[in-house]
Amino acid sequence: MMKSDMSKEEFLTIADSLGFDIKDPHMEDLYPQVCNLMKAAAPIYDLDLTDVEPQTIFTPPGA
Amino acid sequence: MEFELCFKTADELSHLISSKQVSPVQVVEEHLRRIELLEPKLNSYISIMRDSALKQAKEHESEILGGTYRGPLHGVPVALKDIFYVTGVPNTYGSKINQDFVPHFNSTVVNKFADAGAILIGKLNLHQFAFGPTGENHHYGDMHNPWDIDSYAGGSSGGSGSAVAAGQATIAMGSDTGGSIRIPSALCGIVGLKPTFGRVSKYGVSPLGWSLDHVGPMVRTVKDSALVLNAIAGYDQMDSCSVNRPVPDFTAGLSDGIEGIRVGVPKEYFDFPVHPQVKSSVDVALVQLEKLGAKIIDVDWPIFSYAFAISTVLLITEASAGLSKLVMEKGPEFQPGTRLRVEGGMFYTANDYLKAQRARRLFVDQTRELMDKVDVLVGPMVPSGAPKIGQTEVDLGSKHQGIIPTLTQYTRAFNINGFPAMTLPCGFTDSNMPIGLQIAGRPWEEETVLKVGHAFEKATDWHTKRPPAFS
Repeated sequence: MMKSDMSKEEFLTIADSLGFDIKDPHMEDLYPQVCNLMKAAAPIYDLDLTDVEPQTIFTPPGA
Repeated sequence: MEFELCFKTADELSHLISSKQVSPVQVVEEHLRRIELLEPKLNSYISIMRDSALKQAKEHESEILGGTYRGPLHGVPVALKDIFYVTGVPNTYGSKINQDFVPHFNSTVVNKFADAGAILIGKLNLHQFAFGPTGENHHYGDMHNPWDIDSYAGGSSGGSGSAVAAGQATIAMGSDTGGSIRIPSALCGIVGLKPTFGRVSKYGVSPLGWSLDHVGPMVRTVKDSALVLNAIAGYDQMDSCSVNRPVPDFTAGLSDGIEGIRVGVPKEYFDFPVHPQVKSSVDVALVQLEKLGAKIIDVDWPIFSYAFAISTVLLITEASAGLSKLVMEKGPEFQPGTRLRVEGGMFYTANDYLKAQRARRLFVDQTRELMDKVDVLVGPMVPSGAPKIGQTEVDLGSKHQGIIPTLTQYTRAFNINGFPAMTLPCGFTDSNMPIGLQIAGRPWEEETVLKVGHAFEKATDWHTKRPPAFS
């Protein structure tokens, strides 16, 4: 389940694992951006997707 | 009148050129003069292909005088968003980080324009990496709206919008991942068509979101968009997203009229804030369509309210997958907003992305069911006129809203489902900024979208208006 209320500590842990320099002052700008993105995506988790397969664009050759 | 050729449609130019009343050289020279004159104010172009355009124009002039006329785009100037590869011409993707990238092959679209005899006159400015709806660019300068140069041209194909609206190009090409053809077209008062996903090849076009990217024309009339689609549509084995479907003549049924056409108006469109002047113009447009014989039907499209969430995860994740290596290496060289969006996408998980793709399936299925009941969906294109450059929030009458969700409020749904969608002018705000009407159709049924748009255009004169300062 997506966390729409990511703490600063969680953010920095993930940022570190992604290769960001977590001491860079830029992290102060990135943290609210990530929180906003998580909030923007949260409604997807309200949808009932039982038995719904992903929409993919791949078509096997010759189809 | 000076620069009159610069405001002719492709259709009008084709009659003048085929009848030898006007030469492609005259047309190109006049456009190059106009570009030079207006660039200090508008900043529509990143590169101007003066020498090659004049050379092509002379070759096509000889060809036409020699009795070979290729068709309606022969000798007509075309400008491309600076993401379409042209052999030997830098492809910046709107960023100086990429300024030294010079493709060694043409995009399929460029080859198709060349076959049609169109003349490439330059490459157009865009929101950096085609990743934003305003038309800001910190590397090449912001694009300016010809209707008010202090306002955004829209994005990401902002240079395409401003160039066509100001008579700097007859035809421009844009790309649309979350609205990037339709937003600048609406804000600049022109026609923009996002065809069905897979209809036009994206081979040789810088990608942003592979499963959402579309390319299409930005022009002054619906007929011109049909003429361009005739030239560029079709299966391309070089593009994995291209679909092998029959390509009709998109101009054939344009004038058939819309008697009995079922126009769906999703109630959910108006659950979101819309500026009253936009709402009023759309209401008047619907009355006009009804007078032309269409049947207006209020419809339910509940999943529409999830479009922003689904699109955000798909778009940000895909864009981030493509640009994350670059942003980790050269982040400080990105413009700040673009940098944050790319970096932010790295925090979505595979689970989030697949969940969004599952939601997308539901979204497509629900739209298909809805469109069994109607032929097209019609509504506002953008819920306001063009915001001022630097604005971060938009006044929508009842509410202030962030600029990105505002500009993309009605666009993203048709990137998620890949259905064709077009904008055309339907009015002006009190401050004389254009208002766009969106018409969307079933997949592979661009003809219906074009027919409805053409009927509306023929019954109104919004498309004939020119920006006062650039007439």
